[in-house]
Amino acid sequence: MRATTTSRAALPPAPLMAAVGEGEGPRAAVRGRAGRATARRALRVAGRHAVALVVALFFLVPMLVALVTSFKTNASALTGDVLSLPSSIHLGSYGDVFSLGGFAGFTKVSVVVSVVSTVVQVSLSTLAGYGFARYSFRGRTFLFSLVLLTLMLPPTALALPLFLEMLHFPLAGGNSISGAGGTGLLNTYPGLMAPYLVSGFSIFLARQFFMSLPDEPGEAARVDGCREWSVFWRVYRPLATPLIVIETLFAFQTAWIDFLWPLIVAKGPSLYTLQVGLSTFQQEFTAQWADIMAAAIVASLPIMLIFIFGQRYLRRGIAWSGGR
Amino acid sequence: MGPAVVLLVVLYAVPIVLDGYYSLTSDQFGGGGKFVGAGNYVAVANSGLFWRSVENNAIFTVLTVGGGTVLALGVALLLSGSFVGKGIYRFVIYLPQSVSFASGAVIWTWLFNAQNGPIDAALNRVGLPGPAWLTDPHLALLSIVIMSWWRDIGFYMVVLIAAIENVPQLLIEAARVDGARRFGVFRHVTLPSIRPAMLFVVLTWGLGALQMFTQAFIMTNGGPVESTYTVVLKIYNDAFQALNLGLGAAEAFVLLGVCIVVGVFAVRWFSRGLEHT
Repeated sequence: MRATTTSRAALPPAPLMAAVGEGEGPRAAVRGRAGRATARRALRVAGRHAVALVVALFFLVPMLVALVTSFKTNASALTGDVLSLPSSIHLGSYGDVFSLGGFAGFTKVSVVVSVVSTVVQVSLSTLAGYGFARYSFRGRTFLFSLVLLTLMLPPTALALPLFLEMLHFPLAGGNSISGAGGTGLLNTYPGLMAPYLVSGFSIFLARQFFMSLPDEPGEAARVDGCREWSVFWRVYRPLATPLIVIETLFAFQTAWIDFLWPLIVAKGPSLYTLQVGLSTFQQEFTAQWADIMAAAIVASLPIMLIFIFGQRYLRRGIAWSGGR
Repeated sequence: MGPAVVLLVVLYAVPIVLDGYYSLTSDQFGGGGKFVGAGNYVAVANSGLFWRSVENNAIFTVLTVGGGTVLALGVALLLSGSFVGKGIYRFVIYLPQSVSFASGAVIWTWLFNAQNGPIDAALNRVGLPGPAWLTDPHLALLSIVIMSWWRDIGFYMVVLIAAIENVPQLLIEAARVDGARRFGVFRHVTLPSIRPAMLFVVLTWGLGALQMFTQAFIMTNGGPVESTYTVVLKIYNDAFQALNLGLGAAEAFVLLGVCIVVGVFAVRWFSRGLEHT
């Protein structure tokens, strides 16, 4: 590393280097070599595209197969030529998913849980991140370490512990003050939303974001007599739109795709989210592959759409969290 | 900030304490639990299925994260720098991130199906025998690894691309001038510069792989012959199928302990990284 740094200091300016490179040998030889170099480069680019294409197909084909199969009839998906396209587009599977599968109800539950928990999580995380970034107070480093520690406790490992808390939640669902006797917050909307109400990841993102903003606008507002809340609401919140978009996308996606938590908290189909409904649908409609593929697509469609329109923001969020 | 910290305590600290407490009881649904001391932990330690799950989890994590990181890095290198059309490739590779684990698992159950499933149909078409991906005990876990690569490589590719494109161009040019070839530049300039991102990938992905549940639950339900049984699936079955909350709580406590040990290490590394920014 040190060697490269010293040689960088001795580097001639770029145009000069180019001239040195092309300046050797008679002109004809240069042209011949350049021709071969161009051919080699073209070959390399073609090879790169070939590899990239194969890789891309691995990621794309499963989704295309699911889509194509969902437009077949169950019979032709099971016994027909699976590698062929359907002779006509059959939308009956999507009808089955909603009429027989009860997906309208699951969709409602998923929407309520995801929207409400996203609003709560984004508000709380943005404010908390702002606090960590903009104010110094006793114990800040310690508290922020705790926030980071929660990043290392994935929701799945916490599912049973949190389930026990919901089951024994005091004074809810027939429980006594000591949390015994009833079912607590199980099989309720608050119980379904609990794990998504706060996110250490989101607080972390918000802190990183607000630390990157300058102090001066806030100071100026304070001199002008703004209260602390107005400093946040009028000065920094308008600047934080990209952050809020990213937090919203991640929060919504997390709540929407979660599987284990709704599986253990919802006691019946009336509180099944789409993911849980999909897994029971698959067990019930064994080998009805066209229906099952339609169900799998419906369960993921909203986040696929959000993703396609918001992928720029999502990718920026990932880069923020990992690259820096 | 107050409410967020209070909620973090309510949703993280309290459950962990409760879990520790109930792991020492024989709690069933509807109460009636007695204090049993370390009984549940003894049962966990003596459970062959638990250790089988740990083993499966370890193999799954090493294959998914080890193989996946190499693949994600390869794809990231392929699709960074000047390459016409890289945006489309990146988009397609990242696309499975928009599919839920449940949907992805259901779709791959169909792809891997041994009766008329698309993968085996395609293999038969070119004259190859189609293996029983999900019902062969030697293949089932690997099949889930493949599905997990499909779902997650895009995410880690984006992390690595961001890191690769942050490597100062001057360093790369300097190494070239010093006579480093393509691989030399990668080995001595790119790789050391993206070390923090690589650590992030391995830790995040590793912690995720230790929690694997949805794929095993939907695609194989732990079978065939327990070859895809994972720790979280064991917790789920003990607590919610056998209704033995105390035993499940003990297993969850062990899993949390592992996560916290890994987590403390990760946070220390993380805070060190933050000091540099």
